[in-house]
Amino acid sequence: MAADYVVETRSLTKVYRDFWGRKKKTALNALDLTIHKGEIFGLLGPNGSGKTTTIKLLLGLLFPTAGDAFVFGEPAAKVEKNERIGYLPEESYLYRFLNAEETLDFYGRLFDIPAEVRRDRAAKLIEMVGLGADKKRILREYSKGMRQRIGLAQALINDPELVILDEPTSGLDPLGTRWMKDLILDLRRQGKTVLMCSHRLDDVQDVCDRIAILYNGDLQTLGKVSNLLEDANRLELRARDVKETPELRADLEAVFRKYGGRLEAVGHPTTTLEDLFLRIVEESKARPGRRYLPPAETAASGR
Amino acid sequence: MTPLFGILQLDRGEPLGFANVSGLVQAWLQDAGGFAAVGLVVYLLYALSVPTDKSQSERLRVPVSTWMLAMAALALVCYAGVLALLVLGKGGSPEPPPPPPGAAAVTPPTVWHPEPRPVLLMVAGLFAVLGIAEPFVRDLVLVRGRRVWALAKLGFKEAAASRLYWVFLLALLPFLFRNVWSAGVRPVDEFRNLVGVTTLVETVLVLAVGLILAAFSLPTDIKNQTIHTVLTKPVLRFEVVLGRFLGYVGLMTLALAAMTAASLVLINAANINEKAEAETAKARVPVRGKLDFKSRKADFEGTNVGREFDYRKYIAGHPDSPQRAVWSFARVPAAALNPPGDFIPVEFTFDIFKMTKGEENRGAKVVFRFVTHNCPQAPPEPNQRGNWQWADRQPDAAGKTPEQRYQAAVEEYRQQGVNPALATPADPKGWAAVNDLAERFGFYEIPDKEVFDYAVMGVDVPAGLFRNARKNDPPVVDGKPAPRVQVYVKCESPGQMLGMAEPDLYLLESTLPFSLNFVKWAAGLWCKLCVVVGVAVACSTYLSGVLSLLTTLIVYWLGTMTEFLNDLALNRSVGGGPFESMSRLVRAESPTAPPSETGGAQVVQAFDRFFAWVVRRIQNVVPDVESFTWTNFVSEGFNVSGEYLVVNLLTLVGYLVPWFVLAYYLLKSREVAS
Repeated sequence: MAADYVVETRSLTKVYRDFWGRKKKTALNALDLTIHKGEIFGLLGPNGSGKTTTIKLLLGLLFPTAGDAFVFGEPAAKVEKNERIGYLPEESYLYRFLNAEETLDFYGRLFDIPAEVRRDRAAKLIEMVGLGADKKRILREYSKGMRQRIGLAQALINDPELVILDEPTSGLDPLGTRWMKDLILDLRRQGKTVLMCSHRLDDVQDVCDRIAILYNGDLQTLGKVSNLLEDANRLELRARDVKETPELRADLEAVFRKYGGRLEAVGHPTTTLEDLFLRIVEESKARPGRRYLPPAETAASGR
Repeated sequence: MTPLFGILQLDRGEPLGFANVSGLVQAWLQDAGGFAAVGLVVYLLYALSVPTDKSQSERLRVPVSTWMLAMAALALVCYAGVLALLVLGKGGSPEPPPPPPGAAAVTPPTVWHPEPRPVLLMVAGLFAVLGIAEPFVRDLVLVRGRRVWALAKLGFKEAAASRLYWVFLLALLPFLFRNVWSAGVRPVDEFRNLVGVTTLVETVLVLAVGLILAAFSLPTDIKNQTIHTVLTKPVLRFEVVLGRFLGYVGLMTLALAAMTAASLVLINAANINEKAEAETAKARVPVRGKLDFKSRKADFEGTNVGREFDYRKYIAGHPDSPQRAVWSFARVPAAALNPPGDFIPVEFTFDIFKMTKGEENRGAKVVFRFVTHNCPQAPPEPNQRGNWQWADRQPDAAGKTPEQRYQAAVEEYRQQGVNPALATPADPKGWAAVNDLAERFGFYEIPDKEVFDYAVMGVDVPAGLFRNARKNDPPVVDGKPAPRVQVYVKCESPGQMLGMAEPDLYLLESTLPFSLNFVKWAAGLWCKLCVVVGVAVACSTYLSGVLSLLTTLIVYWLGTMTEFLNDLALNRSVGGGPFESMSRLVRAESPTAPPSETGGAQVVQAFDRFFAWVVRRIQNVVPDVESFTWTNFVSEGFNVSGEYLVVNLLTLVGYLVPWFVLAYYLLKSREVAS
């Protein structure tokens, strides 16, 4: 196995069987995958495509029917590899009778982290996930988003080299989603490897370097996000301070014809709903009490 | 009945002591080794059936080492040897003589068997245990205290968060509603009744709460998927089992300690009848003897008066009756040589079966004769009425037999104004004479002691008698040394039958405080708690919460029926086993009728023998929970000895280890996320 592979699967297969050993479903079929050190890797696919099964096989929560899974070069069944892994499950499966501090202390103990380091790291993580004011409340009283935040904190308590995130933005509002995506990018900057699975395609597109798309247990495609999304047959130009007129359109058609192509569309680009939402929230914070106006209306009103 | 789990009940034969440890270890290796051998063979067959090109993960999950293969091979060779010896009918332990018809099944004491077959069986078991335990031990080395403690604390907090502690306030019920359940109780039984109800409530509370917590915790973790977050940390699966076990045992230990302390305070503060308190609010340290019934005829074994519960045997009361109940004490406690007041109390409780009405408020007249091996007794000749005689009739130089010399010494004291027959420890001069006589002749008799039905009573025996018993070595009779001290009990009241069983009379070595004994009782309950929590946690690694609860309940319930299981395992039930009983039902045949000799009957009996074999295997996984039930000791005022405690802790560990190994394999092989 190459040294910089953090995760490698070889013909990894998982077949679920019933009590009598009869085959129920092939959840994963001969998956071959490698994840390099320091990259953000996304597993995509609809429900039941095998994303979570892959993660559980890598974590040793499931045993492969055939094939192998290696993490840091060790078979996934080895417990020792978990020392270097942080895992955020899809639902934040934490003990709801513990408060945030107790939760991080508990998981810190499972890593055999000395008390002083544990306390220090827990305090920093609680602040990082923005739960400083709620650290004494038991998790039962937390909203779903807050549980996701403390779930992420527990995944980072051991300062892991590989962070596995199963639907990390599930239950988060747009602000939380952006915060989570920024954090994932920050983890990469720290040199950590991130494996995330999600069916929120925009999230994956925003942060992942490479993705694998699974469907019905089979790997459909694998590669760099930019490569996979690039449409080599089309060219996109953008311009500022130009009004869309029939003359402009005619001139552009003439230019493209000269180079053997043809003009498909001329229009104003749109932003994403997420960007719009975040801009509104930011402006509302900056200028409380004033209604947000779209840029076109702002220009018309002269404000 | 497997000897693995010990017996501690007063009435269930000899309690286990340090002398039984070697036998217990041998029996454990035979029993646990048998299960280990089956497990090892099944495991190896599965592991070796995995194709060699199968994934590395699979080979890692079911590892096979050379050690395991070697141990399995050695175990199989030894088992083959055992089988060969069995077929040849050689090397086995001698069969104990069959008990008399109708007698209760008595478990033979657990001792080391040096014969080749049991030793080879033990060695085979040892190899199997070493083989199956190898991965377990290898992982055990990796167990980290901090992780186990974190998991234990988690269980602790979980239980506390559910506010289960309020349940333990129910322990106050016996004291709050004492007038309800103590109505109709004899004043003399007040204390044992109070202790009995208190211990019952505590037992139910501790075991029920412990069982529910342990049975449902792991399945709930798996169902809620909280275990995923735990097992994706560097946590060994066995650490989860150990953490849960220690957490719940720790929590329940605190609850038990609190309830025990509260019960002790309330028991001590309770208004108890003085006689009841004097009788039972203490912890006697008894020295027990062996009971035989003797008469002119050598085969006299006591009279059965026809009571359904034939626990006690009876001797006929009459001044000329030669029938005696004789307790033999092989050892003399060191404390008996120079006790305070120069006497040792002897306590007894007898049953009086009245053939005639007798006198109102009068007991039976009983004669106690205490002798040492230096003063052996002989049954009376037909012309000597019912009086047992001094066996040594050798005259000395003066021509006097030992009995004549004794009578002369008594007469001498009488002439000095001291009557040894009436002397008590309260009369120092008279008691000194009694001690002198007892030390010189090894003989002391208490005539006409009035004994009441089922009352704890006592007499004082001069310490001189025990000093005499330490003189010389006892003669060897039938290859065994004669007892150092014997107590001959005779009933003098005509028309009364005096009933007794072995625990009914004992030398009182010392008396300890009741509170300490109550704490020891709580230690016995703690052992039961460990059994319940251990079995429930082990079951819950594979079964759902409800099934774990039911399985543990059944195992525990079977554990309370070891006597009945013993009868089934030995195929000694009246009317035969289940198949013969069914056959008798169909043929409308009495259970006591001798079994027929037909071919069909023999087939039915063969089925019963197979059933008994199955029951014997089941017995090996059933804990003898009654051996940890020390309520009778405490409520009757008998000390729970430290030796019982230690040996029972050993049997507890011996019982739990196989369950933990099972739990290790079950959880390791389980896909918690499927």
